Amino acid sequence: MDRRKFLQNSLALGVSAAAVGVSGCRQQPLDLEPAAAFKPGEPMPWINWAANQSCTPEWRSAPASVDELMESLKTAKGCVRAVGAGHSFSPVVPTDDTLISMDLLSGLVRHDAEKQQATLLAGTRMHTMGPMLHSVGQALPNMPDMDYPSIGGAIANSVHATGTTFGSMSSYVTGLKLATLSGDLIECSADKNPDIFKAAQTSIGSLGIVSEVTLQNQAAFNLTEVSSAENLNDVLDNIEQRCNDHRHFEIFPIPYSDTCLTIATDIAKPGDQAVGEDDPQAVNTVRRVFDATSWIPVVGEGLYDKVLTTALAGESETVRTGPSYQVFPHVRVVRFREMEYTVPAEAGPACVREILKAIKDKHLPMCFPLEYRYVKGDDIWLSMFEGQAGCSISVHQFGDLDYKKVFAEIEPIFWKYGGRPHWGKIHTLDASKLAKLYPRHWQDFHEVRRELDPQGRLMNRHLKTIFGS
Amino acid sequence: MTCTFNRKPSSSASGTSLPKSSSRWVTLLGIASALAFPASLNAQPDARQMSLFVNNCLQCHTRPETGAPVIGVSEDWKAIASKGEEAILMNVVQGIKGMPPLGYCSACSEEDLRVMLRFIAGMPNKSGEK
Repeated sequence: MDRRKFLQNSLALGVSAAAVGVSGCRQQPLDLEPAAAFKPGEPMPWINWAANQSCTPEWRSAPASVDELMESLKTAKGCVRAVGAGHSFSPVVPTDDTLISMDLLSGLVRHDAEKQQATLLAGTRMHTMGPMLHSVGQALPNMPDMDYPSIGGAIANSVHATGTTFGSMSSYVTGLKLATLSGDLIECSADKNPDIFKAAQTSIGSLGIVSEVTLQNQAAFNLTEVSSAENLNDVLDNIEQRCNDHRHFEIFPIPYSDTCLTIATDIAKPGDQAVGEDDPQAVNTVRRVFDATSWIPVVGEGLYDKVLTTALAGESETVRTGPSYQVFPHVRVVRFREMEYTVPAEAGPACVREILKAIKDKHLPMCFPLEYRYVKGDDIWLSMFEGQAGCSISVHQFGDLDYKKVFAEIEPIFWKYGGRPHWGKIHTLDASKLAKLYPRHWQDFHEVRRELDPQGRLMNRHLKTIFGS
Repeated sequence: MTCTFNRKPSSSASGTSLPKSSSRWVTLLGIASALAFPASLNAQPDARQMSLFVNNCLQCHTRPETGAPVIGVSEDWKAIASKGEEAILMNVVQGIKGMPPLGYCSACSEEDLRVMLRFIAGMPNKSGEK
């Protein structure tokens, strides 16, 4: 019997009582209202992937060339925001005025075989970048575990993957072009306009619109990824060694369970073979088991852990192997909302343990696995990894459940450990608190921002909150 | 984030073959199938719309493992097409199941989405046309 079938059969343990509707993940259901109203023939709303952000801008454009982008900026009215794939959970995109879509600014501009660098238009989606770079013998050294975002959006928010020797996507940018509201197209790199470069490597779209980026890649390579079920405490007790043993290593702790999933990824060896396959609906199965068991007084949560542990123990590992751009990303079809903070790397184990304890002690209705990753430090002014290696911990809630109350219970734990929030994910910090988390370059960044956008036209309501007016 | 558990393979998988590795062929076959409809009956995206279609729609509609109906697989689209263009359009704009709002396409106008949904579902150019 495979794990999924075992888990599904285990639902019989409590399915009748779960129907009463008192179990954890079934609590506080939200009405499945559309994120924004739409009537054919009327202006179409923009809605993000998670369906928790929307807007109906008065003016929209979708430039197909850099010249058209410059023209769009020249004629833009009111508050101007750019959008890539719309994968951010935080309200970085919404504007009532001008929304510029980067969808059509996509493709490989040039590549340098000697330096292993490639220049891409900023709207290029990561799922097209892999084959694009492969065709010129290159590959990204690291990639997030999903490939839906655009490269421009990924850079704007310091999107990252996992690996103690790998920085965020922003850290692989060696140069970029920034189109500003004043009509300039500014080339910048470590040597050319270096201050603008350090600000633009992670700017949440507040300096202008990045039209193209040059990335430091490496020769194309193959990877093998091994997913296993393990005891969380054992893994955390030995986390430094586990990270050192692999090119990439991450953990998916499961609330109310001592079991976690680990994913170790290394350069593929000859003879590596795929075993099993991903199950994109796995989190829904976990949710059903949680709903069916956790309601039972006194023993419910222990029963849930027992069922999960039994289902996951003794099974073979899942192995995926192939070109890096096919192994890094996974399919994502279950809608959720996410909060992520990066704490100093050494604080990771204590922080995640405290979060899991809080979920259990407060009986928070959360069964969606957490995600626990390490990222190398960098010198990018507003990167979550500026000046220190980081441990990024993500908490999630299913898309049809209230996330605000449960995230509010957990967010202070991140603050206690000096966590910096992911710019593209949910958090409640404002400029006064964020400034303290970036003591070295907060003012430097805002000097560049005010110089490039003196009227603050790139600042929507959210950016005014996080950056101050 | 992506969290996946082991699922036994539906068929033997080995070597460097991944479910996704067949996507290019699925894409090619799907587009070929869609284009094979007589142009007079089937919606035909223009170059701009085709670019949006490739960058957005095909990332899921060529990958059976996503659960999305696959382009060119006519049986995947029968039940969907039977809902009618207006209902499908609402689902596309607001998202449905694993499909994100707007199908990821922030550059798409209502007309763009109508052309693309007719194209991918093998529906006629004008709503209600047989």
